[in-house]
Amino acid sequence: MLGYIRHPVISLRDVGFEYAQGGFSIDVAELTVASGTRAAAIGPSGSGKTTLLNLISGIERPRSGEVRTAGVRVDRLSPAARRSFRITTIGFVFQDFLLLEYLDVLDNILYPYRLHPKLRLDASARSGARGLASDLGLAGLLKRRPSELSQGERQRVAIARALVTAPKLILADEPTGSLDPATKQQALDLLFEQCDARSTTLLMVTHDHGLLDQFAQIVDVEALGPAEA
Amino acid sequence: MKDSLYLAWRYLRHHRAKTLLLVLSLSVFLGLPLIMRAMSRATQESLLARAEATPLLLGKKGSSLDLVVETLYFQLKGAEPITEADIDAIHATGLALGIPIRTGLMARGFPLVGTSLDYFPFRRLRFAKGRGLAMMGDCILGAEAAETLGLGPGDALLTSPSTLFDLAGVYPLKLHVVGVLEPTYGPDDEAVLVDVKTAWVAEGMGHGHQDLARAGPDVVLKRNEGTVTANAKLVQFNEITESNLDSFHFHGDPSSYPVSAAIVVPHDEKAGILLRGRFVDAPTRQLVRPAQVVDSLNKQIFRFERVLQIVVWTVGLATAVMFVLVMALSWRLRAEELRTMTRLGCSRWKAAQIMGSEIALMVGASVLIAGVFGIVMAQYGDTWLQNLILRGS
Amino acid sequence: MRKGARAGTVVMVTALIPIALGCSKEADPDHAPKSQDADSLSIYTVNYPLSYFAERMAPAGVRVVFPAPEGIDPAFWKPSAEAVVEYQASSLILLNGGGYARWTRYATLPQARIVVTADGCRDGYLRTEQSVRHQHGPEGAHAHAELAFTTWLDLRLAACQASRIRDALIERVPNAKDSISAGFESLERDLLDLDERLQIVGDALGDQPLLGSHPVYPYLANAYGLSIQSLHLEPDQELSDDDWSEIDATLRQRRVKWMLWEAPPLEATKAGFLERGVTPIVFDPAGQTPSKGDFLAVMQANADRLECAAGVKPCP
Repeated sequence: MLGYIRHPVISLRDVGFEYAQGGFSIDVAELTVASGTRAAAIGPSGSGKTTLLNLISGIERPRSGEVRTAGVRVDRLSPAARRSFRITTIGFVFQDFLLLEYLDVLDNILYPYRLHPKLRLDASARSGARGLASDLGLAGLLKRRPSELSQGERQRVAIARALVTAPKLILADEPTGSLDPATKQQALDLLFEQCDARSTTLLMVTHDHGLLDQFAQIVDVEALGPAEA
Repeated sequence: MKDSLYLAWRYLRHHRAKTLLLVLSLSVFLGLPLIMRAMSRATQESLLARAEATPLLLGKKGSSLDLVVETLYFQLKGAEPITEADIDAIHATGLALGIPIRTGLMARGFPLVGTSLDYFPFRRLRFAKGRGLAMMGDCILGAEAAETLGLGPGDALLTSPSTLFDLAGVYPLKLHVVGVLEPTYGPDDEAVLVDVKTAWVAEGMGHGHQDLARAGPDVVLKRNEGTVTANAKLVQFNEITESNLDSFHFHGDPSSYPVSAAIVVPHDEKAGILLRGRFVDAPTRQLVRPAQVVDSLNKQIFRFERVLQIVVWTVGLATAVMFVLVMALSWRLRAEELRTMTRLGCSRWKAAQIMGSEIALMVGASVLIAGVFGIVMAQYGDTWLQNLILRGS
Repeated sequence: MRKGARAGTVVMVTALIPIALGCSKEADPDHAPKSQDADSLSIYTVNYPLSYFAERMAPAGVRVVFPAPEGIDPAFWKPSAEAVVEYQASSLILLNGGGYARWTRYATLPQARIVVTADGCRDGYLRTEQSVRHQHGPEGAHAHAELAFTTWLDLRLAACQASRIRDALIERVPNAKDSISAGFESLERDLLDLDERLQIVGDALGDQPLLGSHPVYPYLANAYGLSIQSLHLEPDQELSDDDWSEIDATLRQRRVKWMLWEAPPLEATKAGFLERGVTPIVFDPAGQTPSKGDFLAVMQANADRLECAAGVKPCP
């Protein structure tokens, strides 16, 4: 833990990436997000916000440069190692929640535990999941299916799933994009609360400039490239 | 592995209809060869066992298959009858025992089989209730006939008229149930066994009526010396009882009376060979070995089975291909779920395990269903199949 | 499923593994007559003469049973189902032939264990004089064939019946062949002696007509050249006026000196016939077990009485 306090959770240096099929590329000269920071990534559509998250989480590999996440050079890891790193270190909150309809709320929350042999679904994990659900106001909904929940409840399930493995970093890609204003703020409050309580670093992609004052660090994705001479 | 199975199970359970459809399709694909094999083994034991247990059959010259089917399985095939004289002739040779079999009538849906007392020890039939045949009018019910009709010793059973609209035909004869056989899981279970003389009476070849010597003027049309002519008021008995047993009689020479065939049981192997030799050139009779007849039938359709097997396997292969296609399409539709799994950090092996678990669970359920069905058919399929073959042949 | 599986039925049968040719179970020694120990052999008969013949030949230990109750003519006895089952369980069933024992027509008996003793001993069976021809329904006129069945009254035929019994016994107890044959030879001598005596009686009587109380004497008449007209009179019943009228009508047609009776008639009946010049002679057909003596004794007494009537030998 002390080691991580010494290093930023996110650190990109001279990173260059383009998709194999061409058409889009992104360059990041330097990006650092300290541990426990609540950061927002902004930029217009197509600016590479999601690509940035993919590079940080190891879903994509840069053609050049250095990507260090939670102190690990993810750009040097094999695809299997990156998957293993991702599931144990990073939690995701997706814009459309991406919950599984055939699992109930509790199973959706525990879903990451079933995806990798490194994570053991034992009594402790179940107990933690129930506690998390309780904190997020989901205690009475554990047997429900996602289709039986409201948008806000689904968002909370997605947040719980992202936090259940006690990750060091939460990457949220426009998590409140489909919520109404009241529910949106409620969801954000819950997310911030849980991240703060766990000292979890949060990097959230958003195009809603009205939320920016709630973040300690703003990352302008368009401005990440090298300065023009 | 446990987690993969859990996720697979939850998915399949959520999509019940699709899962059931796929499982049943696979069950048919897997089960058909299993059922075929199980039933063929069971049928072999049953059909051939009965044929093998019957040394020789004597019948009128003609279709040996019809003769075997009618005599062994009591399915009416319209084979031409022989006569009681043929059975007497067999006895007279001193080489074999002849057991008459007379089929043709039914009794409440079950075949009425006229035979002799020797039939029962020959077929090793045991009695669950009551006793054996003693008098004309007695009948013995096979286990299934007794159970279906709800009859036992002391009850009565009417024969069925041979044709419904034959106004001049024979009235049904009331039989007395004196015994019920133990199950044999063969054709005897559905038979109503009577003395061959009772069968003749039921067919109208013998009858009983009030004593004409003592009949009144309302019955007698005229009396000449030594001859009495009666009218239709003459009471003919449709039930053989102790009091009217004496009046039952047969017209003509009993040795000319028909039997459908005779089971011929040679005293030893040499006797059997001698007997067969005597019938080789018989112009109007045939002495067949039932096992040989059934064997010939098997050989002829064995070739056809090969073609059917190819068809079955082709259909099965098509079913398997369809199954794979459905699964592939299903995962295509679940592409987003796969992407989510990958983004979350699911290993490729785990993803494959989850997909494979769904297939494994469905295949496992199909194998179970097919296996259970195969076992059931092996237990009971021989009787169903035997009836199906014989009624359809 | 049935219709859909019809194609499968062919498949099922085709899956049968063909058995090797010639492997069918042809021989079944269980159905060949088995040789037995005498102690385990039981013989059931339908009349007393056959019992007597069997007892004369059977080795010790063989059980000979004639189950018809006393006082009932075994030719017309109707056994119960239980009695029929007893016959079925026996080792050997001796039937007379000629339609004797009507119950055997409608009972179920094991063919393999039946010996019809008179079959083949003669070229066809004799018929009684009277049978009622009748007509009903579309079949036309027909008679209920009444065969004469007291075959043993032809003593040569009786010897033939005894030989059938001998053959059946030897087949079942081959170890006792010598004793069985010896028993038969002794019996045959006795029967043929009787036959010779009756032949002499027949020759002596010539074509003198006789009456018979019942149609039980056709074989006696046929074998020994006797002319016997049968009536239907019971020895133990009084004759009515109608009976006497019929008798008188018969006697007007022919001059009869003797009448054979199965048993001694009532005194009144005897007197009536004597008045009409007809002497009753008891000729017991011996179908039932006698109260005294045995078959041979009864037949010898019959022969004595006939010899007396014919004047062949002095009357006792």
